[in-house]
Amino acid sequence: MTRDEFLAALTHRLGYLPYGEVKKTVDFYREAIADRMEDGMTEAEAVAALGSLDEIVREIEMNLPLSTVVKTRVDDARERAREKKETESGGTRAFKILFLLLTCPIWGSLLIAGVAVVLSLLITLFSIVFALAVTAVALIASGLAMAVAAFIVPYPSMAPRLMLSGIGLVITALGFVFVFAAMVMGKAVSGSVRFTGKTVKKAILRGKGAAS
Amino acid sequence: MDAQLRRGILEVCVLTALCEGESYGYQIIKDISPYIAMSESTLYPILKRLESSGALTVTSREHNGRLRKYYAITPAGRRRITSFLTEWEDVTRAYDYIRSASHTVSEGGTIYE
Repeated sequence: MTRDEFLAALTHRLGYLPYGEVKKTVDFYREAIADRMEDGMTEAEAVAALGSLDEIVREIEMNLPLSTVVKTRVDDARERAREKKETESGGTRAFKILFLLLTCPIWGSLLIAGVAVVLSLLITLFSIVFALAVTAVALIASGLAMAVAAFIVPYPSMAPRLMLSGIGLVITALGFVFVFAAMVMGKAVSGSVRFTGKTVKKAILRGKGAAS
Repeated sequence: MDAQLRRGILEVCVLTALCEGESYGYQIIKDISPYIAMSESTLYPILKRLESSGALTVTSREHNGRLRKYYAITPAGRRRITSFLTEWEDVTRAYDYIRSASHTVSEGGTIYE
């Protein structure tokens, strides 16, 4: 494969990405080929040394931010729909729309249920973290208030003051345990959200591969 | 090797290749290749990630009538190498432990023979 053929194929494969992204990538590989040729390789050898086009495209796609992947996927679907509109007859399209409308109670409710389950799981996880954090703040604040108030309130002797301030400090310490629990839980939640994002991205990319 | 681990190591290898001074894509690959295999398809996303995280800077300069991109390490990039080396000490200790116990691993497999 010549350099121009390789770069044209790469441009074509990445055609659905934003222009700037494609240009940067193609420039990088053009430079890589030129550097290898300067080092004594022939053009064909330099192109072959870069590895397979599939591998290159896969690496690029897997490192794209999720927002870019979703945007290009939506644009892709829109483009395909436009192409279909041009090739399909009016009758087929009307039938498809009718079919989708008639089956809407089935797939619509399933879709809503799926989204609702994912959303409620996320809300539950976030509310656990929120509850832990609020409990921590309440315990620390009330514990400290109790420890200080024990010396302000006019008790007849020192004993109740010491006992109350001691209890106050224990409550404060318990508050810090809750701070720790909230941090651990927060980390777990953000980890699981990141994992979900990654899974969605992989699914979208796989879908794109199957569709094209 | 685990993909995540390999990616982390490769990122630090690229930064290390830039410690002596700025360099370009193919030269980085040549510098690293005696130690760990790396292709352009792997290097490209790594360079992008390191640039966006502020570990390196990129400048384009003319070379033999064409533009070539040169990469230079930043103080943040150097800190990244230092923290990698510190964290890796734990891994080395664990490796030594596993290595020292490796004879028991193979012996365990022969007990029932």
